[in-house]
Amino acid sequence: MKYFISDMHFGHNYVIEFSNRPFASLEEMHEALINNWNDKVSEEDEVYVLGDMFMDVEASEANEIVKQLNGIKYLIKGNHEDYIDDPEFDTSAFEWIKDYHLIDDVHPNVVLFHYPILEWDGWHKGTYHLYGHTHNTKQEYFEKLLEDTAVNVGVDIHNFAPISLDEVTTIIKQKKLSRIF
Amino acid sequence: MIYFTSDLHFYHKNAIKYCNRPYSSLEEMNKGLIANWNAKVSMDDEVYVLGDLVLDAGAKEANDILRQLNGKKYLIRGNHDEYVDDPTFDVAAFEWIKDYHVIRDVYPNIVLFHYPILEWEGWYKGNYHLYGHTHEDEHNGFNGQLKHTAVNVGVDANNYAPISLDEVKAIIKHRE
Repeated sequence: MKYFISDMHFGHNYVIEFSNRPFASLEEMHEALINNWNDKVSEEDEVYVLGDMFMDVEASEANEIVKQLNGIKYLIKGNHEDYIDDPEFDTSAFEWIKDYHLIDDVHPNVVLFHYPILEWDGWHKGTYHLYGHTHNTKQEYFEKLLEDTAVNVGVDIHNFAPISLDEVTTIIKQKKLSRIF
Repeated sequence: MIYFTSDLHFYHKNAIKYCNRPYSSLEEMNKGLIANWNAKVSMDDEVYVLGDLVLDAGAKEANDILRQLNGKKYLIRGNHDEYVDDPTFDVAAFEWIKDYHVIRDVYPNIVLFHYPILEWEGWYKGNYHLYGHTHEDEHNGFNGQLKHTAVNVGVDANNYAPISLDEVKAIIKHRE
């Protein structure tokens, strides 16, 4: 199964306040994010991380956390992925690290990018677009402007866990239904 | 000087019809786009191409076109730039080929991507965003859905020629 997640901000103390997260400390946040991930994802699953996985961390600390996360991992870079340029960071923890990716072995195809795209490759023919970056801000505004097939996979609106492709499809169906009824 | 352009669609016959371009044949369009580029861009200028340079043609045609275009060139990949994966394509025609790039040595910084981004890195602090893909034929910023600092650099909105950073700034200033 394919999973998607974004904007965990491991290591970033201020995100608890900024995104109003229900954790009393950074340690508690790390523990919850790691447990939530591993509760859903098994070793043979694939997880696409859509950026801003860490902030304010040393490469060694990032390595330590990535090591504890199940599955085959891919990283789309966000605006806070500076740690990957540190020679100490173990880039082999990810199958690849890219700015942009199109998953074309599923139907509909899925466009992955850290930022929300207004019109992505194939939006008119039903291709999905998954993004992050925006946390839990202005969700209504984004939903109004973007096609229903664009989904924010940030942890702040998904109970601090990755969501599966099936969950993404369900979210899109629900959005379409809520426009009809 | 740095220049930006996108969606030239060299060799794409239907671009003339779909985009209502003022050319009567493919040959005329290819020649016209090359002449417009070289009339503005000199050999020591830099040009960022934001994707979809060539369509319905391969590496050979792309090589042939690029050889005729002035300046140091950079390519942001669009959805029709498969020719760059052909081993016979001369990748040295571009300084680099990427999916996404932020020009950080100018102020404001400039976020380059083939597709229009709704909220790009630093949009709230004035960073520009240049995009293509949409073939909009005027500068209306998706009817105002995008912040005014996002500019479509596609040839169909820019007289079939690259536009300079100064021209980008003038478009943004005009909207303020």
